[in-house]
Amino acid sequence: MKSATPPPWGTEGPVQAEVFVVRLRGDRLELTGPCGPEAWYIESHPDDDPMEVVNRLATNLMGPPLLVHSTSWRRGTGGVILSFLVVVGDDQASDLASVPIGRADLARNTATEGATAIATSQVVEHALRHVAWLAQDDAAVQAALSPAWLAVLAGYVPEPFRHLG
Amino acid sequence: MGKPTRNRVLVVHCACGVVMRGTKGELVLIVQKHALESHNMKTTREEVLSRARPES
Repeated sequence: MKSATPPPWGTEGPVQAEVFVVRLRGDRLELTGPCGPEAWYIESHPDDDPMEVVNRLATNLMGPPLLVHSTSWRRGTGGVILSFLVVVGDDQASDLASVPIGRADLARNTATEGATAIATSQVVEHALRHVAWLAQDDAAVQAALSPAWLAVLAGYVPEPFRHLG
Repeated sequence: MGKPTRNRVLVVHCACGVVMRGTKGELVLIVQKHALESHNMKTTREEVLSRARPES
């Protein structure tokens, strides 16, 4: 998996959504989406609700997702990058390229400073730990995910929303 | 003698990996549609054409 690449045109809004689309295939999670396994960047304009924009574009391009959740944020060029995890059904958007998700250590720093460098794989790792936490804490999330999904998430150490860099 | 410019096929590579091709008039519409539908971005004709390259 490559590091995040800039979008094709400079963002003008204060928030850019960085979306990781995940589905379960067998007992493995894989990254997929309109940009294949790469992070999918979506502009959020000042009047937009980033959550609504991500949900709407995901629905338009892949069908209704099972789960949309923002899991971390970090400073980006000209604004904030808000990372989202979008879970789609096992047989949804099956024509889109995908890669299995491996495990990664999290990017960390001191108790009062964000990480100075962060790889895409670390953002995804944190996102899955965040959803693992939600699956224990949020009944709506638990209900949205299949038993197989919950079993895979049990392997991730739960962790709530955090600033990554 | 090269092809007339009007019908020359141009290419734009989006950072997300999508490759779009077409004549100048076609390509502007294709790229603007992709930018809006996939990235929520409004792009001008000039922005699209500044990133277009002749198909090799």
